[in-house]
Amino acid sequence: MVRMAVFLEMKDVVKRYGSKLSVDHLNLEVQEGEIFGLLGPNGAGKSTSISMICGLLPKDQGSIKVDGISIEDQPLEVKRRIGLVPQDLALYEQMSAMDNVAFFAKLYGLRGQQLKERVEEALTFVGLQDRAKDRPSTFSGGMKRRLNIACSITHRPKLIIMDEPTVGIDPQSRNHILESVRTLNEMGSTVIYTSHYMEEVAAISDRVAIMDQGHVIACGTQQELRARVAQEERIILTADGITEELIQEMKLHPRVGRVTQHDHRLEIYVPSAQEELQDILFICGKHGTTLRSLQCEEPDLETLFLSLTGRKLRD
Amino acid sequence: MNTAIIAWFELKRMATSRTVLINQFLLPLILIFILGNALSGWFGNEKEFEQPPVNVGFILPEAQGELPASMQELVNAPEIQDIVIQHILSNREEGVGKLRRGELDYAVVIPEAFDERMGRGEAVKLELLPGRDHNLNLVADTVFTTFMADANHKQAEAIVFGGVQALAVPASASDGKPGGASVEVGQLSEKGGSYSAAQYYAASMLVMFLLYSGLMASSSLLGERESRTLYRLQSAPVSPGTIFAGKIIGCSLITFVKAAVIVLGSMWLYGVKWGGHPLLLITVCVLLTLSSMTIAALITFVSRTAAGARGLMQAIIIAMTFVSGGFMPLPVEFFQKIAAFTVNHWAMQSMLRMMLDSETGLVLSCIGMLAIITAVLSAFAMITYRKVGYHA
Repeated sequence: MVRMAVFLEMKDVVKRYGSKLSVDHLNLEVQEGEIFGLLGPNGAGKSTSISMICGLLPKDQGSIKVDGISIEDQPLEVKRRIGLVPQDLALYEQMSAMDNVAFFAKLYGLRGQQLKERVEEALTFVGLQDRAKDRPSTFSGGMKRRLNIACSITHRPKLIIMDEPTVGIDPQSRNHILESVRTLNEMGSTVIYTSHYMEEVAAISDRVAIMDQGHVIACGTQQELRARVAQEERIILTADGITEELIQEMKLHPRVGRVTQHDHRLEIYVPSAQEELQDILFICGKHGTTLRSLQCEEPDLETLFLSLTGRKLRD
Repeated sequence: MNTAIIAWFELKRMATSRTVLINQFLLPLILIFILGNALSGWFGNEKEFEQPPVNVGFILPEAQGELPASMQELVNAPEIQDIVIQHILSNREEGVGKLRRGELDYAVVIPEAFDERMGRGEAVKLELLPGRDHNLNLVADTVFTTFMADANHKQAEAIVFGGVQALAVPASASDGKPGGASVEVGQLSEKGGSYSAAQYYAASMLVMFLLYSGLMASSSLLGERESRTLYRLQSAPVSPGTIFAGKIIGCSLITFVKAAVIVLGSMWLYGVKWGGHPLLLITVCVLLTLSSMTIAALITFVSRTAAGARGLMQAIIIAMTFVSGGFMPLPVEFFQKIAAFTVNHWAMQSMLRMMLDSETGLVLSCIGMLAIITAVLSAFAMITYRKVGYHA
């Protein structure tokens, strides 16, 4: 793999709110041209970190550099390179979609013909060119989300930060947004995508950092992260007649890690589901268990988070 | 440049709001009309009452063809000429008849050799015959009893000092001659008379609605925070100070437009005269706008929500308008003392003095007080901004 230049560098960054440590000695590097997923439950410190990267919140400690420029020394230069798609819709409801996009674009120095072209380009990119003169108050939730993105990309930023851009929208708009992220990346922008939806992050990110309680608990490509929990493929059985003896015998199997039971559901963690499935089915048959369904799952980011923190991402 | 972009966008945003257009531009003109008409009776408006002239019949002795000189001087005096229309009659019966028929409003029976007998110090009586109209009788009574009182005074002088003088009773209280009345009838201002209800409420509504621009500014500043657009604005390469200044300038521009609409609208629609100091009027409007923006800024810094700020701002504006007599003149000393600390009071005083065409110095002294209050408010706003700032 070709190692690219570091575009965003956070070193030992700390942010406190009173006595609460919101970001705890955070170290993070985002390479130029990648889609970097920032995954973590609510309250993990993702949005606070983003606010500090964008110069919206002062940090208490550490350093942040974007494209080699310190946010402390040249905040406006850093802001010029960033397009922030905020978690909450930040639109002027009584102004037209075009006015919204044009206003924010002007603040990044776009003028005249270039401004006009870029506004049209941004609205076309998010599929709102036909609604350019309509007010956001007449838009659906998904359309507003797309306009929210358009307002942040008109100036063609080098770094696009998307903070939970798919909250509360329909699957179609969600797919549109995810596709837009890929396209923006292909057009040359580095993207930081934060979400607590593991599937979204897994679907688009080149590298992923998992945050919890203010710091990164795991970071790498999806393959690297999966490798950390490779021994933990999961066989999920739904069956009648699950007994304590059955569970005990399964636990005695040399390659079974953990076994958990929830009523008629049995989860068995093994290094390779394919290899151990026959043994598992044999033990079930031996105890007279009637199988209703069977499912094998490879480890995912959710599993990794669970194994690292003992909690689920959406807890 | 970004300040101008934000200011222009703010202006555009306000202009697209129907509520803003109705509340800020139309409402003040409607209120001036309603209050100016409904409460016009509270103000000394010269045009609202005109004294009709009194037809007075002077009944002379038969041998005498014309009025005695003292009486002639009275009815020829400029102040009396407009009030008394003289009719010379030769006998009492004719006078009484005309009074009964309503052809005359009042009659005076003048005795023989009136001036000569007065000069000799003899007793002389004028017989006053009232007509049908009570008000006209009062006017005529006032004229002739005053005349008689002066005549008595002169006669007493003649008796005491022994000289028989021609008794020319001065009719005018303000003829300016030596020995005339010691009281001169003046006016509140040097040039004009008094202001009308429409003028008073035009000034008071202009002040109140310029202050209401602060409410608009405060709502807009906090609205940016609540709608999260401030978060996005601050992620752009723009300093918080630029955003704040841009929004305040945008609101100020719309306030200037509003001031022009109120002044010109009240002039053209209701004939309100704003006096002959347009530059001073502009200065007052600028100071008022600045005051309202600084009050808005202070309230924005201490409020958490736009609704809270709106409530606070409204309470302050209404309280200041009330104590300064903006809703109705308050002759209560306590309120007048408090009013001296409000921008409304000094702004209204400046405008009313302009309307009365007072001396420029008097107008400037009121504007100076307004400027001092504005400067103090601005200083507070700046200190608070440095401490609190304007953040998402």
